[in-house]
Amino acid sequence: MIRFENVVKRYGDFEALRGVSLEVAQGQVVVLLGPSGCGKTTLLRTVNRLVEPSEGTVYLGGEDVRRLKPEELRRGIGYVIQSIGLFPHMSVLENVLVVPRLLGWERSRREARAREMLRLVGLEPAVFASRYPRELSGGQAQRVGLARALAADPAVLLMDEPFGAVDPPTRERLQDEFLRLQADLKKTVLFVTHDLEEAVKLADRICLMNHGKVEQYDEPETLLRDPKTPFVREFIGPSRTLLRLSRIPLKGLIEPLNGKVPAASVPLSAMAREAFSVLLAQGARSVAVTDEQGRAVGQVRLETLLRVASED
Amino acid sequence: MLRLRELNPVALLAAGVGLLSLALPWITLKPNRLLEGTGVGVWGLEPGLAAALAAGWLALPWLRRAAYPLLLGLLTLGWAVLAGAVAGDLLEGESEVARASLAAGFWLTLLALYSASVGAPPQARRWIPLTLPLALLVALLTGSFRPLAPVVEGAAYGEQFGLEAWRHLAMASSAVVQALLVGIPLGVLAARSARFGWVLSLSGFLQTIPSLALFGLLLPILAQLGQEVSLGLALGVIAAGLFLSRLLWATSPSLGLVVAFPVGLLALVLGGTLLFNLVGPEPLRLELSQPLAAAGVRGIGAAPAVLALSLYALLPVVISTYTGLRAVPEAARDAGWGMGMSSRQLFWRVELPLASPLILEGIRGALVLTIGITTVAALIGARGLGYFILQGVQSGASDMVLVGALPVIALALLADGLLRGIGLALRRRLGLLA
Repeated sequence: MIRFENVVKRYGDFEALRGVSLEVAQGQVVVLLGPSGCGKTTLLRTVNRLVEPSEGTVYLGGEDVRRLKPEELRRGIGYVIQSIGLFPHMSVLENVLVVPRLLGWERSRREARAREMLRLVGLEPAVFASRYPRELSGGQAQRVGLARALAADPAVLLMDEPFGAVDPPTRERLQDEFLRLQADLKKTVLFVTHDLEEAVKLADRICLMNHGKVEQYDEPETLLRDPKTPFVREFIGPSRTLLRLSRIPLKGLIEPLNGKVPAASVPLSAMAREAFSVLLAQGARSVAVTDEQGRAVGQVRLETLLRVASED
Repeated sequence: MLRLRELNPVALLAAGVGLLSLALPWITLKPNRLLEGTGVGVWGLEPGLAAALAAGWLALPWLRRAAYPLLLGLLTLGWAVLAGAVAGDLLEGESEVARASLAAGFWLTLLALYSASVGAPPQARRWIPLTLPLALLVALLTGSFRPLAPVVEGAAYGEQFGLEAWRHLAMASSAVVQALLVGIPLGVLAARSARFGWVLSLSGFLQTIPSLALFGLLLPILAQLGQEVSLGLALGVIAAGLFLSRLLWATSPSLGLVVAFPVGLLALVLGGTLLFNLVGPEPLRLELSQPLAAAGVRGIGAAPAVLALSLYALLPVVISTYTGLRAVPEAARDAGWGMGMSSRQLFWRVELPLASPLILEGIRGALVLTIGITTVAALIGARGLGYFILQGVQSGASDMVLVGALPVIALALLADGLLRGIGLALRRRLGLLA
């Protein structure tokens, strides 16, 4: 869906991008990860031509992005930024309506769509439509930002550290909702973050960048298990074992209960990491796994978790 | 009853000043408008009213909520009635030419009233714009001010007073309109690109030119222009100049502006004069073949005055436009670009609305400033309210000066209040205010 071909961007003598080639498959979430100044935001902004590459080509749906007028190109791409960038003088509804208005949709269609989008991101239109950005919490504002980006139903979403400015609990909730939405919407998403944990949680594939180059482009499991360069190893650091557990669903690790049910429990839908945290906190050797009704359906033992974590 | 510690300190100070002023002379009785007079206090002639005023001042600092603005209104009314009564008492039996001029106590009480309205407790503040004008209106309608010298002097001019006030407002508003037409685009240019930073220093420099010097410079130029150039020619030159500068703009914006500059000045001269004649008391005459002088472009009079005022009003407009656009959050701009707005759409839908409250502040500043300095226009025969000030200064009659000065202050305050109100409404409408 998106293809970067040997993209170079220079600012004077400084090379922000030093020949990046990358392909993003349709419906995938690709996270551009790396330290600040690694070129990830610059790369993202070449897609909607907020940055024009010095060399190389960016293809969107097989077509060179330079063949479209920048405005038309951008109206077809959802764009969410860290500072959200809601227009402070427009109500929530007007903010969500911006792109449909630019596209010249008729009034009834765009308003219906905007309300639908607000509902989709969990904001009741009757309550929020007429509010102003000043009256929203950080999390609510970020949801409006997402609704605005989705309003014209773009196939591609560009998200530049969208959850960077909210507090950790809100961020986790927004991440969960993003995953839930993405499961339905199947957008092609290019997502910039410097937060390894966020990347591991959200990505279908991670592109780890440093100094304007791609260090490794792999699925999160592979990146964590098999770092290809010293930089990748260092960036992932000692938490990689724990992070790998956060990609492994509990489902495959459950053993039958043999008589007594452990005191601590985790839900069936959880990842291995959650069970591991509970075990550490309780000092227990096994934890019960409960289904949606709260019944214990099995257990996970500490040894099992240790084994899968160290597997190569 | 509130304890002393909880008293409103500003109201307390105002009350102190108000009480003190009751001990001073309020009215100076002069045998005629030029001779020195003797100051007269209020207690001898109107002890009852004076005592009521004193009681009011004593009570004021203890009040809160609606009682405070209500009493303040009554004090304002009392101030007018007391001054009028004392003046009336004094003038009884005196000759026609005797004048009851205003003395220290009268002015000091005005100061006390002003401080008390500024220092109103927060819950009472919103009633002040209602009770104070109402009190002044009642005083005006009941004729309390009528025996006072400035009113007597002003009344002698009758119709001319209204005419000069009209002329004054016409000059000030034409100048501000011109400053907006030129200043907002210049401010936008300066905010867009650092190359146009000189726009800011230029408008700052214009304000440093003394108005008298500017009039002196403009006099021969405008006189000659008015004599020798016809209206049709001037319009042709302006049109051609603007077209040329538009052409040059494509290759070099700075060069385009260099051409636009003298043409713009000519347009300002012509535009200001025509605008003034359109809204002012003089009839608007437009004949293409006649020299410009027929349309009002002369070395003296409204033409140089409006031009100079337009140049002075430029600074607040340019600065506020520049600052307003610069204060637009970068994130809003980035989001606008990213969502596919063209630069024109970004300007009209995002940048200008977000900058508009600040631009409006600039317009307010320009209008208040211009209403004030339009008084100098009288020096070059453009008249306006400055005419009375000039007359008063020339004849040494201080009450005459007040005939011009007090309405100027009132107009400036009125314009200020009006634009503040509009600004508030604008902010509320843009959702930038709770």
